[in-house]
Amino acid sequence: MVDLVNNGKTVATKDIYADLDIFFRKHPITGDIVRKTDTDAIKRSVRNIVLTNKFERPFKPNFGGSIRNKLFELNTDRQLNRMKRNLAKEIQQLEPRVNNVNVVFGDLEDSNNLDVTIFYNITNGAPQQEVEITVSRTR
Amino acid sequence: MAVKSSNLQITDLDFDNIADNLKNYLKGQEQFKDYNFEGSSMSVLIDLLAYASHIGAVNTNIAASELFLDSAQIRKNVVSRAKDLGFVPASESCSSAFIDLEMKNVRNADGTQPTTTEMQLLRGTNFVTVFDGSSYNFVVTSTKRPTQNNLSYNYNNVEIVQGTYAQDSFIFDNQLANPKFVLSNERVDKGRMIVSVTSNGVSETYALSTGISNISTESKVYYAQENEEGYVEIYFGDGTLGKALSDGDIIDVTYIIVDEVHANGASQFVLSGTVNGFSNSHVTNVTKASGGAEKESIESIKFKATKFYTSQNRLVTLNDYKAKVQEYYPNADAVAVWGGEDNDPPEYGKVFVALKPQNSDYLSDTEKELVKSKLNALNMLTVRPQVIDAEIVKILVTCVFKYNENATDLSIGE
Repeated sequence: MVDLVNNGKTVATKDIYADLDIFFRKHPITGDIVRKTDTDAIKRSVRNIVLTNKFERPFKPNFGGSIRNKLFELNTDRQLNRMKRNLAKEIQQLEPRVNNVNVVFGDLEDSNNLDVTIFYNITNGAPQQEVEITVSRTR
Repeated sequence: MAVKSSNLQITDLDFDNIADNLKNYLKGQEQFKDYNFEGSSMSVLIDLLAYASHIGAVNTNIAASELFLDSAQIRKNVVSRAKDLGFVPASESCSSAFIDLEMKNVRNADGTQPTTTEMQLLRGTNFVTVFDGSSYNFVVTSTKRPTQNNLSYNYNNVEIVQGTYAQDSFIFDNQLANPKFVLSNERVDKGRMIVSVTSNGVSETYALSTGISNISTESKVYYAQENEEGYVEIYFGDGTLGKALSDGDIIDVTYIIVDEVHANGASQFVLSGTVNGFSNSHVTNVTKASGGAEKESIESIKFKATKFYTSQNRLVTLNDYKAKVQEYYPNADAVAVWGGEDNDPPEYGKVFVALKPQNSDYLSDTEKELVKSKLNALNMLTVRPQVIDAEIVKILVTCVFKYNENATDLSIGE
């Protein structure tokens, strides 16, 4: 968000980033589609990247973190480290607005799902942002 | 939005270009600015829109291409476009040969000799040939009565064709609009189909219609065409162009299933099985097997259909002859046609046709006569077609090699 200044006084603020809400929720007052702005827009973008499988987006076969595809991989340190590296690399490549990406997996013992927390800084913006995603099987 | 819709480029067909155009269009507004970031929800929507537009454009392009003979790629569409021009593509054709058969020492167990009627060589009798290391089955095309010479029975000039006989039967139902009868086998020699219709206990043979100029309301003809799946389908006249069938008429179609490998050139045949229980036989080859060919290719249909349309089913110009000869003899490797005035020496009033078959150098006399008689039916009264052998020029190539002997360890002999 940037301030619009007139004669040294802030008269308005303006969003730098603005995106659609992917769930197409309706604004309760205006009835328009809800917007995601700035940090929320970036958070949604990171989430989209992580949850998209490779070959899912048309004509972009390499797009996505493919985390759902990894749900049935072996629970070994080697596999987890590789997933972390790949996920961080994908986010860094596909989302130029973030840096210092760090991926942490939650406690995996007997939870039958995968808790992913992604820490990142917004370039020229707010530091220490995080996104938490839980991926679980559907049946 | 600030951008006019007229600024939106709508002529691009590629996915990337369509997506770029949408992004350019979105630059004119302030509400949603993340369209340039791949992970954004806007980008998901843009990709979906671009994908849908791209698929729509591709389908439209394909549909438009398939509407024209020049650009169509799918066989059923090429056949359909050719049908608009009146051209019917050739089906698979089986290899055929002519033989003389002698049944020797024929005598019944009681010492009498069978009559020539009993010793008829029935249609479908099998002969076997081994050609290029493989065995092929040939069958007799029509029942033949022998001439008897003491203990021998001779069958002269018997035509045998490669393949297997099959029969399909249908019942005509006049409740069905525009009924067509699809044969149950795909590889059928359309030229050798025998179609008979049994109506009120009376069986009549119907002929394949090749033109409508001679067809009356009572002509016993059937029409044949290749359907969308590549199978031969037949249908009958409507009472105006050919005799219409009645409800309950039984249609029997006997045809040859063409082998996938054609034994063109085979000349050694052996009777497989018996004739009236006798098997002591000797086969003399009269004409080598020839004429086996696959169904007309897409490229060939495209080439011939336009020529066929130009010739309008009559023979006037040299190109008319060339198109018609290729239709009558689809197995031709090369066709040359020239007028008698260009012949050396000139023979006015004649048209010369030289045909080189695909698997041999020359046509048999029977094949020449067949082509000639078909041409005679369409040509001008004062012009006589002559089918002659092509002059085959064989080239003996002598090569002189130059090589760098320092670049190899091998000697000349190696």
